[in-house]
Amino acid sequence: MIIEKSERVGETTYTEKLENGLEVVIVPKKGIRKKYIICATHFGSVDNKFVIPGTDVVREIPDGVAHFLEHKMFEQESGVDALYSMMALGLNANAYTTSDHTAYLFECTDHFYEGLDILMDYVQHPYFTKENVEKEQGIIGQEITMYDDDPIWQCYINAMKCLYKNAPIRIDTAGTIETISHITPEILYDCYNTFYNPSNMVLVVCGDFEPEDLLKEIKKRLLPVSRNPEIKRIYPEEPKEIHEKEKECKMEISMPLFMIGFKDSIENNKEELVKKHIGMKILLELIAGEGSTLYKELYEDGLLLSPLDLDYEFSDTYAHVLITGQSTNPKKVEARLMQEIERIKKEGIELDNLERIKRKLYGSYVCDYESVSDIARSIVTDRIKGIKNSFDYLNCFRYIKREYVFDLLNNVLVEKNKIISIVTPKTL
Amino acid sequence: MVETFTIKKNIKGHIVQTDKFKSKLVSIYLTKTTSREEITQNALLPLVLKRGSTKYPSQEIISKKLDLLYGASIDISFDIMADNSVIRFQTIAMDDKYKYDDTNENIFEEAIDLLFDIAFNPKVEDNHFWDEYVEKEKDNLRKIMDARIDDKRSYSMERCIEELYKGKKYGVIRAGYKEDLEKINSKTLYDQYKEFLENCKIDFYFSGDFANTDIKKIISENNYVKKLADRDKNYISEKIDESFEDEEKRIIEKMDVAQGNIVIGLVNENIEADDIYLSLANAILGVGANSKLFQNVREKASLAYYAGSSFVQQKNLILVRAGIEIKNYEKAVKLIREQIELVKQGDFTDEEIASAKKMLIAPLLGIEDEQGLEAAYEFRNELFNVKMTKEDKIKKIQDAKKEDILKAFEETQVKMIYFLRN
Repeated sequence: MIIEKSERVGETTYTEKLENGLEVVIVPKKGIRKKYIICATHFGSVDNKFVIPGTDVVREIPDGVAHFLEHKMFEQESGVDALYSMMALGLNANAYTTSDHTAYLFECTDHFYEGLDILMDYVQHPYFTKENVEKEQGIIGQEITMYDDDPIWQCYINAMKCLYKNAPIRIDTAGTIETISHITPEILYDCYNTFYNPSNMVLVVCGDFEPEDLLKEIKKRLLPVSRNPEIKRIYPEEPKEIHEKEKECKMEISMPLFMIGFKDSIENNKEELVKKHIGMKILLELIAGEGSTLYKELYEDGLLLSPLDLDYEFSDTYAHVLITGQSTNPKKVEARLMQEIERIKKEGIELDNLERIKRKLYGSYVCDYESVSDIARSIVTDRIKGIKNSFDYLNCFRYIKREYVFDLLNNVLVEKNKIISIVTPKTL
Repeated sequence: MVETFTIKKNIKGHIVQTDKFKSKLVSIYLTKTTSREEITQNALLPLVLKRGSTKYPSQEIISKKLDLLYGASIDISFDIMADNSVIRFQTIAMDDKYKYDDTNENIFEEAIDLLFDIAFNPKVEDNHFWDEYVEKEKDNLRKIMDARIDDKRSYSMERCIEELYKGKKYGVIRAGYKEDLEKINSKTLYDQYKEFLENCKIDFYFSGDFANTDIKKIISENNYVKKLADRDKNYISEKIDESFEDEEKRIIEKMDVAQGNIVIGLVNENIEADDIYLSLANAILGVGANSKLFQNVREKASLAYYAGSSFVQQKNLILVRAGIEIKNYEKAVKLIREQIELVKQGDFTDEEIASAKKMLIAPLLGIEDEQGLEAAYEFRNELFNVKMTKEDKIKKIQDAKKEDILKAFEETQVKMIYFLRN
């Protein structure tokens, strides 16, 4: 196993790439009773066009398949739902789908190996029929309707539609009631056979384990499956420019909600990803974090009542900054933000501020290693994005120079890259 | 494991010593019986106090200081716990052993200094809070009151409780009342703050690695703590004997929504009913994928995307919640009632009981593994005078029999059906 250690935070990761291609990562946590396991596949809502491995056949699938598949995985041929079996053991089991991966997980204090049996069983045994697909269409239909009432989700999807013309991140993860009506068992099996191949998956466990012993237990439960050749994913061409400057919709909320986005170019060099991610986080905190001059002024002027969410999201098919908040006047916030950005471009970044933000970031990275779920989840996210060593975040942040952050400011936070998505109260 | 020590009458310190975490946590809980007259002021206090203290007079100064303390956090919140109003001041700071600079500062001591100054030494002028802060935060609170409707699920829960407990302490609106705001100014609010501080129960919680820190000494020598006086008991630790009307009430509220939210409140008016058995009944009814509500309302009938129930122990209250298509309202209510009847009649298997037990035991076992959980858990025990240890609780759950569960649940009645629709 490849062993990576962080002396600084006192944690170690053990990684093994199995013969069938599955990547297993184990993070031992002595003295903690909780255990957390996630099994994830690099298959998300953006993967709706691909070549069936070993053939020339191009498959295009309806929106919402990855999420639909996630729901259906729990159903077993025996009729027993694997989610119930796990919960009956007292395991806190769940699953989720994002733009670039689907994950199956559970957290427990007891019965880990029984849970592992069930998890590895249902993930390796798909069972889709016409009946169970139809039933799920009803349940997912309601989930979609629930998200129709969610202002944050609507604001986000609109922001993606502004940023991107063709990139599949602009597709709703769950699809629409119309698109999911086209899903058939055949489609689900095609996707399963393509993407749920071990070579496309990662398994992460965090808890009080002996890594070699746990690895043995995992291997015991693996079905012999041959490794697929690399999956050819077909993504549409995406222009560099943003698609639309702004989008607004009305919903029943109390105060306007907004997301200001800046489109960035996709970083193809995986080694640079961590550096860029940290650089962007530092930059955003400097400009608009809770300790910033901008936030202070916006708060005193009544334009903001609580801190902004500052994110940099990135994957193979998208990269953007997203600044989220609520305000009685989102356009004013947008204008003041740009003013502040221009000011810093002229006056430069103060070293004091840079060091202060670095400390803040470092503290959050350290404390992330407190929780088995935070550890497991961030390792899965990192691996799917091609980041091989999660400790890179802890190790490289100190070497981010002022000039680097300043370059990001000048290259990414520019007017032509900017969009805004607003959700306005119906009563206004 | 928590070590408790008395500082003054109704002022205590509690230490959860553990080296499992990378951070240290300090919480100050101020607890007083809920009163309709004070609720809005109490909801406003955290907002004003976090704007600035005597030594750290602005938000910007506080934020910058926290950044320098390696991203320590300060959180000040107001909440209702049964019939009590609780203001909590909390800081979580990275443990000093992970510092990368060879700086002399002690993160823990600085974080405490900041937290205590905010809690006990607010920014004050001529015996009143800073006018600007109070006026600004009143505006803020108004907006928070309006924002209740943003999350339909939590809004429906709150509304059901408010209607079910109308006129009673538990039914007050947590965010306060708009009509009260006009009467509040920087002087009246400061008077309220002083009165609250003089009469509330105070609990200090410390969670983290304090093996090399003498907490008792630090607290007893703290200047703010020294100024605090003994106080009488002004909070409610027992269950209140409340009576409800016999007949069920139905409330329908209309809003522009695509999905309907049902919340049904069930109460067991017998305050002697056993909590553990009642919580098991609730688990069988609606906790987890093996529960009646999840299985029969969500899965088999496909009537709801979410369907479950929660138990508010101190109020003997069970809240059933379901997200449904609006047109299926009557069907869903009927089906939910059937599930409640099934539990009442004892129509559940040994497997269902076993599953319910596991759902209750698992979180108890995990409490020590996440920073803050144990402190919060112990505070709840402290407030409601729960002497039972975690181990005894787990044993009681494991040994529970069907008859115990039925006996605890039998007097539970539906009292309120609330529906949020278009």
